[in-house]
Amino acid sequence: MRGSKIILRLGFTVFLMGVSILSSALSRKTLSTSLEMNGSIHLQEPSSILNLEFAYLLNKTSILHGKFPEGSYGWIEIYDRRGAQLLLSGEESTPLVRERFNTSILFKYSAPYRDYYLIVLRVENVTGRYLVSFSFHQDLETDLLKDSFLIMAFGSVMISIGYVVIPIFEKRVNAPSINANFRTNPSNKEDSRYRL
Amino acid sequence: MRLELRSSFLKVLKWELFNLSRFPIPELILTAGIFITLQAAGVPGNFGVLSGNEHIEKLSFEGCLEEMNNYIGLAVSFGIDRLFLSVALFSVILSSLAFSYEMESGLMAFYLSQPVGRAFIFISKALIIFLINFSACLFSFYFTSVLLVPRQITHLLKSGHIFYSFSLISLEIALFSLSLSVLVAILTQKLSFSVTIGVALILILQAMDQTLWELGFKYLPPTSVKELIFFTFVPAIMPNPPKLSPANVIRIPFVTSLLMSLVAYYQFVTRYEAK
Repeated sequence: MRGSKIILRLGFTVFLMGVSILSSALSRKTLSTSLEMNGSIHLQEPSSILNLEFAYLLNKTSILHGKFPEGSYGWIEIYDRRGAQLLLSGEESTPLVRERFNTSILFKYSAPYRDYYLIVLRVENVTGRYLVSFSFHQDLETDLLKDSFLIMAFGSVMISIGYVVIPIFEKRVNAPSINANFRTNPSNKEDSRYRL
Repeated sequence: MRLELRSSFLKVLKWELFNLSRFPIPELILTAGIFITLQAAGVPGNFGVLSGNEHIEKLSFEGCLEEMNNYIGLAVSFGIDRLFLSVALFSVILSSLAFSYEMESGLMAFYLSQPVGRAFIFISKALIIFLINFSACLFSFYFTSVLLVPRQITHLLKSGHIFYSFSLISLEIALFSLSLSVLVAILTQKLSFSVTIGVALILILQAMDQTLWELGFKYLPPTSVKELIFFTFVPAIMPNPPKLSPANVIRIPFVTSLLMSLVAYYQFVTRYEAK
């Protein structure tokens, strides 16, 4: 198989994968909760200072401090050690989120490839320690739509390279000689050796 | 002599690889696999089962993040019983093309006239169909997992537990659909019959999924796949999972597949008469 054909086929494969992701994203009607999970954070300090290791979302070394009002669902502010506010901030939630989680604000973190949301469900005072239940959420539809377009664009580039660019170089390298023409196309009337 | 046999087998294998992996076939299997696993992954009900248990409630945030890998595996593989349908349908198409079409058109007679054993021809065809289906299954699992959590790519690639589970599930699906479709293709020897009967059998099996489960025949795909997921992923998350019979979950589908493959092999190698 020639190089252009391999690239062309890979391009078609990537493009088809993008199409399948797009169709999958479009056909998902409900709110995605693919990575939703319930967990709890133990707050050590009574002043409701949230000390959570957001190891998955941020660097493992980052320890975040946030203010969290006891018993409220509404908002959260998270600061780093120097007091600067981080990217995680409250946003008005979509109607679907509001309906599902009974919260008007969710907290968004823009990671390099994905946007994640932390939805605080309830705060409980358990023997002097505060137990915060949360839901970890990812808006998969939007992410899949973005990914699908990106993958389809990548596939299209590969197809155009395989279809246009590489054949140009291959033609230059393997320029057909008279003998090659004779072998490949014996009925070629243009070849002088066939003239009577 | 042994070298000659080996080289002829490799030649047949290479030929079948080029023959069966023609342009749209593997791509379509892959596309269908990704679509189905993405569709099924992240159904809220899947997590509802797990989020209610005490083990998860007691975990810290960090602990929950450690459990993430199992969740991803679970989320992706919960759609696998739907993947069975697409893999089985493509397996029927490939087997019909490789066996019944060639028997009907006379190509098989030409192959058999060559200095290659019948066993080699059978094994090479079956092996290539299996490899295409198995790798498409495995790739769709991994691709969907990476799409769900791009940062987890290194962990997904290194995690032996996830690789083992995905491989086991893919193996069962690919092996069962292969043995069933090859048996039908060799017994019918006609393309139209092979495709019709194969598709009908798989649709019946899929439709009877719940009924089979209720009747107690839950160790044949696709019902056994659910058990397999439960057996591989859920114990990692739940400390006291309901008791399962892992021996049956693994043994019965594989033995059934092996029996069907042996019947197909015997039929092709000893009983088939090329016309």
